[in-house]
Amino acid sequence: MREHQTQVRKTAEDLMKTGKARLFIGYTEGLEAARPVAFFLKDPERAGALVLNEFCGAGLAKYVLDEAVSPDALSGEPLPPVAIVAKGCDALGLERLMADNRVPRDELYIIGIACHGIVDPGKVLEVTGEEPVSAQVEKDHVAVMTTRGSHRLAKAGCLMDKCLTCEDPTPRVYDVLLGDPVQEGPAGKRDFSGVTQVESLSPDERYEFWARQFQRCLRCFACRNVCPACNCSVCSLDEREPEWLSRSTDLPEQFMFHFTRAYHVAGRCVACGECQRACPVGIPLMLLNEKFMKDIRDLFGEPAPHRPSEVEPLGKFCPDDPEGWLKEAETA
Amino acid sequence: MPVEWQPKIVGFACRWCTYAGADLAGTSRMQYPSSIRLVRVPCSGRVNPSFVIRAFQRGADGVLVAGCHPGDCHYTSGNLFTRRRYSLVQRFLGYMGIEPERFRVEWISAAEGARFAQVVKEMTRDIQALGPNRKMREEP
Ligand code: SF4
Ligand code: SF4
Ligand code: SF4
Repeated sequence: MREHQTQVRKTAEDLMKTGKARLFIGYTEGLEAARPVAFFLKDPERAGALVLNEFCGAGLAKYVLDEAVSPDALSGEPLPPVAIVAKGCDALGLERLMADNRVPRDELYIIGIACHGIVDPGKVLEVTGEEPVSAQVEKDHVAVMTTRGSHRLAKAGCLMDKCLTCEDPTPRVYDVLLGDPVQEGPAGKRDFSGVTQVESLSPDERYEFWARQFQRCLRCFACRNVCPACNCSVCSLDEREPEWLSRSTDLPEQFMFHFTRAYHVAGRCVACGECQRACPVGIPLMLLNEKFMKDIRDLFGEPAPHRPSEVEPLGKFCPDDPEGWLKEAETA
Repeated sequence: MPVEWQPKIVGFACRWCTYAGADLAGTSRMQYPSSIRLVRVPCSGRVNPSFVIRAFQRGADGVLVAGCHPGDCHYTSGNLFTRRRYSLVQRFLGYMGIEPERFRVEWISAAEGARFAQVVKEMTRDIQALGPNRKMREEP
């Protein structure tokens, strides 16, 4: 990934200089080497501040909603598109926004990155006890430099969760692609083992498990803010007195909130994992998203995760759909 | 002999089929437990899954969503969406810990008064065996 950094800078500089883009969304150095942050480049002279490396995991897709407003409100002139760096998962998010008519294709200039996986600095810290400063994803392992030395780590132990089940490492939409297309995700396919594990508990144990998770929720809505599938222009969560969900963080309200969030993205979630990454208290939100994903696959034969360009599974039906409700024996 | 505990069951009934079916059960003097409280809805497709969760939170021990048989929807396809949705929602409720006996989806036509009575009997019996619902429950 780092090998494309120069190209990203060059592309950004060209696009901005020639007026082919009005804004370039990429990454720049954060406070820590392993935690780059979003960067909104307007001045081509500053293209050197852009970075691209094995830690650029945060999804940028949702930011385009704040930026993609053309024609210009004051002059009425059409504006050039917003350029954005997108790995496979980010591009799925962009596809989601486009499929939901939240941003037209010609408003975007997508710099696609064929991705080999992103390193989760938290996992490296856990395994080595040291802060990572750089990393290189190799064919069967990851070479990580930390503040105190170098390590050779297994992919499963240090890549971001979403990468371990990634099915689209190469963006499905882009204007330019950096790197050769990658066919397979860095570490295998989605096997829903987490979901199966929860399913294997008794109803009481399941309830206890989720109660434990949900009672930590701060209702900060980071999971919504970052989610490309949660993109309504007016969200009921922002109402002062929402009709269906109070602001209270009592446990029943938490169940209502988490059910609603997961159900609203059921069949539309692109499995980018951003919600779970953004959650400050580590609620395993993907276990909720994946439950819907798995059932949609099992019942309606839709691929999991669903690709956004198709009609949503919950927006249609077949005359011979199964009755998916389970009786006691089947859930036990 | 102690009085047997009666569960509270909220039933969302489509006005064209199940609600009429319940009416038929009543006018035919069929016996069924008084545990069910029916809420008449225009179509089973009107039943937002939040209704179901709220019902559990505000005191229901069981919830029934019932409408016309697939193919018989007054609005042509409302119940076909219901079937997709609630196939997922029922499983998801289970995933969050609600016992499967507490939530049922049934197709009950206006002619099936006996079926309505039967479903209420079964649900009441099953939920009686489980006891009151305490999950997701708001304190009274
Ligand atoms: S999920 Fe796929 S595309 Fe996204 S960072 Fe991981 S490997 Fe790359
Ligand atoms: S629910 Fe989570 S994984 Fe799914 S699209 Fe939204 S942020 Fe991505
Ligand atoms: S990001 Fe986490 S803590 Fe914040 S609202 Fe979402 S689940 Fe709750």
